[in-house]
Amino acid sequence: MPKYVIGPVNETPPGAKRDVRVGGLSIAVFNVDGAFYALNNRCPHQGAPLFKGTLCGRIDSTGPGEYEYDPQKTLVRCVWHGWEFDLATGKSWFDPERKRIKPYPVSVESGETIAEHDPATGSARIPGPYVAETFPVSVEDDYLVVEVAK
Amino acid sequence: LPEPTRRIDADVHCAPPPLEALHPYLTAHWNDYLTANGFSLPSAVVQTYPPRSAVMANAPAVTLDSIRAKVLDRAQYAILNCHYGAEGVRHPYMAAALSTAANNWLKAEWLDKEERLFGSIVVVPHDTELAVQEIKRVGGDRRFVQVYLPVRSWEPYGNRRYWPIYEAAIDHDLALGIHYGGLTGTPATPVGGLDNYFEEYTASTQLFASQVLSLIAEGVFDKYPSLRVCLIESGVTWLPTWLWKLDTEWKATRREIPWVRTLPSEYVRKHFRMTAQPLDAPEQEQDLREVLGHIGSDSMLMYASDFPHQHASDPEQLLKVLSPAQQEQFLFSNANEFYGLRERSKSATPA
Repeated sequence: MPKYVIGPVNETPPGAKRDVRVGGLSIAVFNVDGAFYALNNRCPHQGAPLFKGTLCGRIDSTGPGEYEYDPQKTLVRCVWHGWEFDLATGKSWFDPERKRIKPYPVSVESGETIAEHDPATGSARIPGPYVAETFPVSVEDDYLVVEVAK
Repeated sequence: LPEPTRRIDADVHCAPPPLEALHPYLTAHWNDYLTANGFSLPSAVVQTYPPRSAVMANAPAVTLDSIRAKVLDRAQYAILNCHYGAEGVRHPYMAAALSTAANNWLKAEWLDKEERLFGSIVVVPHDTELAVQEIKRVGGDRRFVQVYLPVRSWEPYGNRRYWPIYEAAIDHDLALGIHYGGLTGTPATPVGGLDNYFEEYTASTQLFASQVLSLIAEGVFDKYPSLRVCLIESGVTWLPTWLWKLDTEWKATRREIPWVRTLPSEYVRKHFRMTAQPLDAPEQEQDLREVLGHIGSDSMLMYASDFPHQHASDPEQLLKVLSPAQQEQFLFSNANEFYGLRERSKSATPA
């Protein structure tokens, strides 16, 4: 499963919502208080760009007038019609098995790790290969890396 | 499967009783007060069914004999609805006295005399406490199967003010029967009053739609999961597009009503039934088939004649597009299960 370097981690600060193109895919990347999430950028409803969605907490209820609200932002609401998706799993709130978005593993890795990796020989120590499509990687920085299944 | 022969007629009307008919069931105080004031019937009755309108003009007189001849000749059981119009009587104690008298009249003049008839309880919907009192008074009589509520209400029926009525209904194994008509202090539609009966009758569709919306959105079925509601004389074919709207908007805005945890259309199929007179069918059979497909349940529709009211629409049209099994459900089983009629007919004990 190839890993794509999205860019230096400080380009996606807490609260950031962005779309990146890697491996021919459009991917929505979110930084929620330091936790990173990556989902396919296309809402399964009508194709809205998911990265423009609103990050929000989970709301549930045990009965009329009861609001069970978890303010931790674990959902993204599509900007067009408000469908809610779990940032970690991509599953919709209202139909989690049938309406869902593909999630991609995203991680922060050191420039040293990425730069030292040699795609030609492979390495037991480092999963890969990494693909830095548009910029050079420097060993001093940390990078955001997304793993995209082909 | 053989041609289904059993039927339940889920909407049959007796004429609302004028004051003279209620004299034996009113206290001396109310008899003298109402007589002195020249009262005969709540004005809602005339508003809902104008005597010379198309729906009424050629209607046969309703008597036990005419019901036996024209309804019970084909139906094993019938639900008798008295559209009394208590909601239009603002005086709460007068409205309550009249509803009590109307229910006693229903028992004595109809249910006691014909065991194939089941009744709907007349209540004062705008005074919850008095409505609950009446449900408790007569709800133990198994021949009453539902609480009659006019679709025109003082507040949408999801409003919390009505909830004790629903609790009392459940306690007495009663459904809610939301019926066309009513006269309250509000205009006939949210965009204003209407000029003629054609508008009044036709516009009732939006009132039924509003009541379905309100009952679901306000969480009535989450609070009372066993509550059953029959939409009576609501028309049928408007429902699918409303289900689409409800489901679509819920997906977008369900955070406002987090207690509604599944598609609103699922609530409708689970909790609601509809009588099929009028049906409001399209001209082409194929179109009617499609509408039924969109409703998505064989359990929702119940045969009804709306006797003695005259309609341009014909519930028998439905039979042409139903399979024999679906016909049996429509004509008999849906109503029998919803109201538990056969079980009631065994246990009903005339007071």
